[in-house]
Amino acid sequence: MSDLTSVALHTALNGLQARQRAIADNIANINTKGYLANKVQFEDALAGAIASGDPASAATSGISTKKSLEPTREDGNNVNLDEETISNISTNLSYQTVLSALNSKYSLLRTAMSSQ
Amino acid sequence: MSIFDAIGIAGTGVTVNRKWMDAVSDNLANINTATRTSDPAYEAKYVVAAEAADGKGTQVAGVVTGSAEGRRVYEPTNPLADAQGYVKYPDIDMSSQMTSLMMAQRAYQANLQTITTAKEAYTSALQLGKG
Repeated sequence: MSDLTSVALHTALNGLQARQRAIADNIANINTKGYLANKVQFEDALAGAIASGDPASAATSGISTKKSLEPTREDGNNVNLDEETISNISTNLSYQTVLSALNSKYSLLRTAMSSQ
Repeated sequence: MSIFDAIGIAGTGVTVNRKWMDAVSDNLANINTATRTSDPAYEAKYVVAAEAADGKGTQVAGVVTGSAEGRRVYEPTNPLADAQGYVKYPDIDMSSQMTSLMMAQRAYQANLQTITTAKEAYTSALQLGKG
């Protein structure tokens, strides 16, 4: 279970979950004065780690959360509801896609284990 | 970080916006509450949202009240009127209250939508390895 595909998919799941959490935090704070949106990045780090053949290296250090630098509203808040909603939907779809890839991986393993 | 964090975080947003809507409805309900000029007028409530202390979502940091000064209105027939015929009404601006109400409602809905989406993702995760 520690092959390149499984590790890469697990890292992607962790990254997507961190992003989902950040989106929930951003939307919860949409009316908080002075709040800056959190953005989670992991795709580039993960792609780099896969290319170098060591996806496990992206699992810990590859997922980063940064405060958004977008201009703020008058109350010092820069959460953009439509952007967050779209990001929420695409994060959810990516999450489900990664899950189904993991499922295929597991069913392949199951087939290999049960064949005579 | 717990696995169902996103749901809890969006839940804090739902709570804060419900409290905000409560405050606005209280203000609007009292917009025509007259008092004697010798008494304080109804004070409008304003909810102040802040980032939660543990970094997980949002919380109500406090409630700021409006002025008790109110505005004096000449209504000699009002049983609460003073010797000069004046009563006091709260200083609440209907249009700004309605704007707040809409903002709170939209934010409330956005947070509920986040919960629904997170629930979908977690439900799929629970099916992992089953098929």
